[in-house]
Amino acid sequence: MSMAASSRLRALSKPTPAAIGAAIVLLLAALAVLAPYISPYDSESMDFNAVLSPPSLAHLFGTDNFGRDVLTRALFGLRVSLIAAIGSVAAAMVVGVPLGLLAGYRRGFVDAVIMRPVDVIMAFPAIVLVVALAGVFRQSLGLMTLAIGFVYFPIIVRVMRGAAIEVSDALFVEGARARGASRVRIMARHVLPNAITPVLVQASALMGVAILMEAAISFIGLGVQPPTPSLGLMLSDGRSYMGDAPWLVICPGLGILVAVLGFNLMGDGLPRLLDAANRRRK
Amino acid sequence: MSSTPPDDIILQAQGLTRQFRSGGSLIGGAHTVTAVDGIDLEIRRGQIFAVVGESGSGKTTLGRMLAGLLQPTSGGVFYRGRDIASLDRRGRADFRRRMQIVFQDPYSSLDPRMRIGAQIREPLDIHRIGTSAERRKRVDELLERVGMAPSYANAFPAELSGGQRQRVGIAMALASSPEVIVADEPTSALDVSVQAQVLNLLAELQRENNLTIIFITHDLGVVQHFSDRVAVMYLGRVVEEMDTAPLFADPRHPYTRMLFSAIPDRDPSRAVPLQMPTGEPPSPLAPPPGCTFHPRCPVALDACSAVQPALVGAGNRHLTACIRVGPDGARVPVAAAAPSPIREATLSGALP
Repeated sequence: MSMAASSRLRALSKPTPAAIGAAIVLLLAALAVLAPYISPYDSESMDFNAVLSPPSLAHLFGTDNFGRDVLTRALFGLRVSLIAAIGSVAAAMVVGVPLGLLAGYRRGFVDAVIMRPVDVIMAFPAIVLVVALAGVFRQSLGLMTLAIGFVYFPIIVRVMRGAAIEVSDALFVEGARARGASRVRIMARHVLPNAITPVLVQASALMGVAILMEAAISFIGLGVQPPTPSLGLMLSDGRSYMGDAPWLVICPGLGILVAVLGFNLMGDGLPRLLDAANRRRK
Repeated sequence: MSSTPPDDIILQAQGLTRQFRSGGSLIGGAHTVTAVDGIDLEIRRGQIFAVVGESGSGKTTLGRMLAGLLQPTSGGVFYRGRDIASLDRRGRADFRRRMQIVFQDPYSSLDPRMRIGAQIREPLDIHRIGTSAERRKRVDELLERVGMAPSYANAFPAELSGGQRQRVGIAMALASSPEVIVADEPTSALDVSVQAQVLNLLAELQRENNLTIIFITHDLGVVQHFSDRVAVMYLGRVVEEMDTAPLFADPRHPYTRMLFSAIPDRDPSRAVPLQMPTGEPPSPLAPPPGCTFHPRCPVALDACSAVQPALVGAGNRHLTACIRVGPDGARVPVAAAAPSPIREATLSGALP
């Protein structure tokens, strides 16, 4: 027992890909939250004496065509990206987890009523759906976040349902039924905690996809509107100057790359992390 | 069918039958397996009632129906004279409180993500028994009663051994002060040394609380020491039912006698009365006609493949389903029928 416990602790403290991913995500989140305090310049103030200046000590990642500091804008853009990612996945989970749980535990008619509409939504290509939603509604960060969440909730429903079906066959679920536990209690207290791990892994991976999605929507001009910075928007704006001022796209591009990488690494190692945390005594 | 049994009969099965469909596909048709076939039982309050049989005899299916976890295809289970399928909301809640089950596999019967204390407490939460402080106290008492330190309330199942888990399973079953416990092979997943501890614990708890225990097992040695009455199952039917001591002294059905001959005896000089059961039990998909035991039976007659014998008996409530055993318990004389001589040779030392 103690040997197993210590080996688990060692597994946790070793710099596994999952730990690295979690560290990246935490670091980016801290940067995003602290952006107003740590960024060297104002994100929207222009300096026409320093237009398109290359990286220097004054501007670590250079300036853009309006003389705005690229690093500062990337930090604020990261904020937008993370809000869109976390917000959309959270919205997808709030709707998707209960529906998937219900479908997987009840099966039969309830399952069909929940899953057929979900299949219909899933049949649309994600980007088309988001573009349509973003086009119909007023363009704002909040609505874009909800639109991305709407596109991803069927994935959460499916993963949750599959895991719930598997757990619902377990003996301890039958035992709870034998003791007279209500459906809601069985689903919330027994099925959900034992079935949530794959959903969290999926959610972590979706965060990375959502960051790309936000970047893509803002890139084509349907997302966040200027002058608010967003990583995708910065790529879009910097594209025209890419030959002369590659730093305009390198900095936001790296931001997207690192954020997506962080979420994916974290998702890969999540099951082991959750398991180890759960098994530790007291 | 009467549904007003004597007061001391707490649980009753009438014509209990359960069929499963199997192997259905687009091409091949589905088969129907009759796992439990028309069983009548009367279980008295305070009794330890053992159900024995080989794998696939339907004993677990029977137990799950008696516990109300599985709907019978036909027939019914009566708890205190009331059909559990027609209980109202309150009646069902009361039944769920008074009827508990201990599962065979203590590794999958505990929720791996819930602390032991919360699992033992759950029946109290469900049935709203006592205040929060009283429930906490009861969890500690239950843990102590099953021989575990109250500090285990904070542990997760993965930290416990098989025996400890089964103790927790028993504590969970006891929490809501049940009257009946269905114990489905509660010890067969445990080490032999731990089996005895768990059985002794169950026996003590039975005496303390005047519990009725339906004890499902394939272990005849355990049955002999542990139970008050035994029903022997073969292919979904009860072939013999009797109080334990007289049954072990005087088994009548050939299948029961074969089973008993398989119990190892410490005295090697004692003769083995019947040959060991030969072959596998027939497939429940295609049960043999007549008495389902006749293909393996050393004393079968031609008539055995034609008539399905009823479970009948006379004095002492000794019930047997075999045409070679008369209703008064006397065995039909061998010479009265015309069995094959080879089979008779096996029989000669067996049936007095």
